[in-house]
Amino acid sequence: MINIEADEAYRKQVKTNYEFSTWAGHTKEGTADVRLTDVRIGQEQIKRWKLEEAEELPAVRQRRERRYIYVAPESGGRRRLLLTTLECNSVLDAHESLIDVVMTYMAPRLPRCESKGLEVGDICFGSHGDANLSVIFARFNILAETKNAGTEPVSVDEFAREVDSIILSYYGRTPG
Amino acid sequence: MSNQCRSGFLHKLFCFFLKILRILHVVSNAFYRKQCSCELKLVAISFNHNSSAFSGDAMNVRRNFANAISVPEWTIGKTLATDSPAAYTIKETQGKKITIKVKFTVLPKTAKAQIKADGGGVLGPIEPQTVAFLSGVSVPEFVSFELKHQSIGADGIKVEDITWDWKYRCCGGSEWEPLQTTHHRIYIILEQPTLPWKQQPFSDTQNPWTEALDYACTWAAGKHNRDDAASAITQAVNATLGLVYDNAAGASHYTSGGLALFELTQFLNYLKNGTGLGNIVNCTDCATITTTFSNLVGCDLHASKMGYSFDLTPFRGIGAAGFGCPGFGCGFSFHEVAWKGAHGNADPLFDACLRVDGDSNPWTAPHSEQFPVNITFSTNPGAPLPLAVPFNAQSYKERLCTNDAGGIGSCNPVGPWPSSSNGRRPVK
Repeated sequence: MINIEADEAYRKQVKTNYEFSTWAGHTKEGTADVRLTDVRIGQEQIKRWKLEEAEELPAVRQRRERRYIYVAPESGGRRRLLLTTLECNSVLDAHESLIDVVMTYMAPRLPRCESKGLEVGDICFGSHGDANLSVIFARFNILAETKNAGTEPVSVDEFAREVDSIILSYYGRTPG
Repeated sequence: MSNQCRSGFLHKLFCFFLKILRILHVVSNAFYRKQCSCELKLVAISFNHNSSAFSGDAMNVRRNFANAISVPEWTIGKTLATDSPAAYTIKETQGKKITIKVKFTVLPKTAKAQIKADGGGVLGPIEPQTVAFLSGVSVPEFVSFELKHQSIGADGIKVEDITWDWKYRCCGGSEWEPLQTTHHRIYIILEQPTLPWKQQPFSDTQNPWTEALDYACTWAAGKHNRDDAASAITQAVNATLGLVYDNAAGASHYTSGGLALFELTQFLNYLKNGTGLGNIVNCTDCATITTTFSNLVGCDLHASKMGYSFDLTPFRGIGAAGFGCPGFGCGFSFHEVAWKGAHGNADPLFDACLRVDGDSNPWTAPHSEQFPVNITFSTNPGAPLPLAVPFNAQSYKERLCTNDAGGIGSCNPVGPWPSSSNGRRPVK
């Protein structure tokens, strides 16, 4: 039997842990009603990383999910990053989805990216340790998660900045 | 060649003398065959000839998510065992008559032939059987051969490449002629795979994948029951695949769709060549891998979690050199394992994500590592804390958590993630 009540209580606890109420629904640029569509992270847009595979995953609650696998060519495949993007229905939906994702992490809480010198997205959480080996951030209605997946882990800061700037470039193209 | 075989005592006698002359090199092989043999061809072999059952034949399988396996599994031109796979369950075939079905063609078109096969490994040799032909094709088109000498189950779970040396004689010939050598990969599992694996409908992406059976049957080789098989698979996942724990965040790498699906295709890519979604995993991944591969050989596990937010005593995480805490600290928001039964306190579990301290004081060094396999979640869930030392119970959560209210007292069975198909994530 699935303990729905426990799951709900846990979700509330996660929101508290991540101080959800202090950032939910807020954007750094534009307004909270910006909705980007068909955002794609391409081959030539990320420096020093080669796109090995891009896949449209089964939709999550009607939200379009894409996964990209990048490798650092000079590493012989040892440096490997996964990028997952989720196109949510609104800014707030992206922030709720961020909670949905971090509640599947075994780590009880993650540090804010700003505390580790990384400024990306409207809200961003990094990882524990000296370097950010994974980052999850929301920019407008787009949720982006970057994780190391290779045997030679690297900081994902620069990669995350480039992804964020690509997402921001879609905002620049939005009419009106 | 005429359209009919000659027959009768005189012809047999003629062929007997011709055979001697051939041995003495007085006549050629070709001449002997023309007078006393036929041109037989083995065209196809069907292992899974009844897709609605698997007690008398092989079960429904496919190669992977994208590729089905067509029946008959062996046809002319296939030379690799992996191109002609078949899987059998020990439980359902026990004491049953198991058959394969084989198609032949022949010239002359109305010959009869005796056919047999030597070798066969776990499926055994095939006894001589007379096959009739009409218009050059066997009657019935696919002739049933009973596997009278199969030894399915004798060695437990296994994967074996077998070879049959097919032989025949016809048209009064007294000597067995070589017909064909065929190669097949045979999987033996305990019983019908459980969810996410399905036998029906066929063909379906959730039919057992032979590419996954290659690993599951190797990891659980020789095991005769579910607990031993799941234990072996858990230990293989933990200790032999090069997987390491995600110390940065404890995030899942091999699920998608909001924890709904198991990225098995990507995981097989990792196993094959180190690519896929990489070697970093969390507890959800380990529970899902263990569940999926164990259930493939006939176990009945599901990925289920405990929680929420509890403190940890040092353990040896998957891929770690020794005992310690994750990079994010000595606490889990939740933990997910492969669980039996109804994932209650008394139900045993299998955890490939870590090894616990198995000695009489699991809360202090020195640590004596123990694989948490087939271990009860909690033998005494309501016991007052702290628990007394020495602690000798084979009880999982007490060996995972700190000996206080924030540890043992906060770690309780919760159940599978709602999106996880009751902890049996479909494979993609």
